[in-house]
Amino acid sequence: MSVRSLPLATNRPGRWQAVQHLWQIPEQRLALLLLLPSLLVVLLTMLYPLIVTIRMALSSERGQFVGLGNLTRLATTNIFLESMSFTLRFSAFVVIVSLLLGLGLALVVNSIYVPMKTLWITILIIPLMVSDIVSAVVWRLMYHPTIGILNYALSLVGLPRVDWLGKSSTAFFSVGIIEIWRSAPFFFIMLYAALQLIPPDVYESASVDGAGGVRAFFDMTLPYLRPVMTVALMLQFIGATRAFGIIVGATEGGPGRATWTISYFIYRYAFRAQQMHFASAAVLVLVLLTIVAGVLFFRFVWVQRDAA
Amino acid sequence: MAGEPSRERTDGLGRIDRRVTRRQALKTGAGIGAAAAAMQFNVISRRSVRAQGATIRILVPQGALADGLTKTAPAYEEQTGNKISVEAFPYQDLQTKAITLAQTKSGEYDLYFVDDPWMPNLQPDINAVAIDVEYGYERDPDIFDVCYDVFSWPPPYGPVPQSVRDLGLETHQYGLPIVGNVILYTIRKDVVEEKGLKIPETWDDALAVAKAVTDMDAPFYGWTARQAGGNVDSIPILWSLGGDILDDDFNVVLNSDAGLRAFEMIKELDQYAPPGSVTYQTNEFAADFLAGRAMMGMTWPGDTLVAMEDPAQSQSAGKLLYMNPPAGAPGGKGASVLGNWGLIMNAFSTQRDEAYDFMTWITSQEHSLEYAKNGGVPFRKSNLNDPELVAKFPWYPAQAEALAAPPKWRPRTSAGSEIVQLYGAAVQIMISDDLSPQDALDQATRDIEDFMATAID
Repeated sequence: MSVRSLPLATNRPGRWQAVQHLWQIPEQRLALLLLLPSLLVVLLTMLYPLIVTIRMALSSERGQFVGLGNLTRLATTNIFLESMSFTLRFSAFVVIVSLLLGLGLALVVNSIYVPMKTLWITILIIPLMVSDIVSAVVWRLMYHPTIGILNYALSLVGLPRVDWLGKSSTAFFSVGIIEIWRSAPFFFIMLYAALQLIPPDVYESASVDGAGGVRAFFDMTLPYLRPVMTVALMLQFIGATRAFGIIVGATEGGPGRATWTISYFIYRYAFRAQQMHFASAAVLVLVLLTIVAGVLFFRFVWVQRDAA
Repeated sequence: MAGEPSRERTDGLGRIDRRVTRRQALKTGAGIGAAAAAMQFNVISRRSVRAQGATIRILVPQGALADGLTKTAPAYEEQTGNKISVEAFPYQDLQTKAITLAQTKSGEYDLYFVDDPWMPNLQPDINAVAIDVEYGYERDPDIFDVCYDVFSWPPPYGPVPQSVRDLGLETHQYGLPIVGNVILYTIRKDVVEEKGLKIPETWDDALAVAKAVTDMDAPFYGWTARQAGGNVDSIPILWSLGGDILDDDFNVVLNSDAGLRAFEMIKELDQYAPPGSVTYQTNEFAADFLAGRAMMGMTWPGDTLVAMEDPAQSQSAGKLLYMNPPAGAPGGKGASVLGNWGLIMNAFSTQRDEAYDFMTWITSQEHSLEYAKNGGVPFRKSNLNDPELVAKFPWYPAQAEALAAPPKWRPRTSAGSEIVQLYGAAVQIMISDDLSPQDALDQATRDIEDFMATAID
């Protein structure tokens, strides 16, 4: 098999020049042509809805152009601001606790002292396979104030019942725990896989240099895990900002509006209240939030890699 | 064009005499008569159309609400050769689906089950068929007027949104009632008698009864309520005490003395409710009655009353009294909330005649008894007063009384459902987070005003 390399450019080519170079090579040209249908599908399914959303966000419910009117109105709408605040707090809480839990589980299962690793891994990733709504309904039953197993357990040790989903303060953590239950296995499986890739001689060298277990973890293990951890954090943060199924199934946004996320706000305004245009403005904010989070996380990864 | 010489002439003062000849009058009369006969024939022929083999597709809610229809439909299928295909969705999804299908002018379904607050969102004048115009449907005096009125558009009385008024539409019948739901106050009459209490006439009486019977350790709760979602079940308290969410011009008027008194009453009643009832959905609410640990609450005939009156599964069976909600003050009258469901014909259906045939068949006097026995929630006076049915479904007389009252309907605006949801959210947070009634009123007012600022009425 012969391999043709790209013609070397004296100066670093721009993206368009790179495409032009690719086009000069028959195999690459074929590859580009084969990619074209997928590219068109992606453009149609992503770009078109985005354009429609932007157009709707810039007009009133009656279709008149209002410029940034809907976006500025969002900035003064109490319900949206509270939904945004909840979303950010909720996402941060979920990803941080899930990361710590997932990392801890990965280290434990990776330990040489744990037998039957395959069995543990299978058990631990079960929550990943359960749908949002099923998770929410099962947890809702466990949280039930009178017949729920959690309050029953508390009563066995003489503790008072907790209204898990019935107060704003407890609902935040209760819904967060459901999301963590689903999110921690993701961190676990990603980090466990990353741990498998760390060469054993790294630890041997560290041991020779006199590094203890804690030191080896912070100086060897963590730097190796950081890229995977960062990508996993980004994915889960974006996922948490879009939390919807768990909210609908567990609390319907309640009590009151205490667990409204931005996604739930969008759903309520778009489909229940028929304010598609105003909801589209909120969609833009959510997309922007996602992009900013993605850029920040990726920047963090590249900076670390460049620094290394 | 050759024709009858006209008698048109002037009287010399510029006035025109347009009297017609006898022949012209006869011709015109004959023409009108022929047209009327043709229209009548059209109506009769359309009503008699039963194209065998058609499949009528109906969008319905999941749960017991469509039981009557699905269990009675086989008789129709046998009689006509047409098939009834029912597709069920959870409440929220059904609302979204029905409205989205209407907006996209889809003919996927011939008939929609529509909860009455959704009427404005459905834009019936565009997306539904006016059956009085197209099929000459005439009201049946055996069906409560309010059950017809709520599926007429624009609303025949009460506030009408400005955007709808601007269209200058005539009111027409866009659907037929299929579920005669109305909220009822429900109380354990055996406990009232046993404790020597009185059936509450006012909400203050109800509060006193709740306080007198509550035993948190037993447990037996003086009050229980379904509070998740829009907290619609607390609206009779607000209305009975003289408050309201919106006025006739759709201004938010919740923050009033009556509103405050209602929020205080809701909060006080909650002291005698089961722990955690603030997140109760329908099944959790019914479970308290099934277990015999609830004294009173607001119930909907279409939800769980069949189970609550079934001795095999309910300890409250045969012990419940149903009535119109208590009044705000002695000598006053309590207000109930209408919650009818209607069968609406999709304007984009390609089988209108078959759909019309089925909707009139299932709602007819002839088949209503079977419909009710199959679990349908009646909307006919004769059914609700039928001794055989009343023996089986003891809430029927109260339901008939509430429908005759008549009950009030929720705001007839496309923003109505969400307005009620925001009201309910404020009530819920008042109870869950121990917010003061005034703070909750302020929150509800602010949220609803915020919402209406961008809503189309």
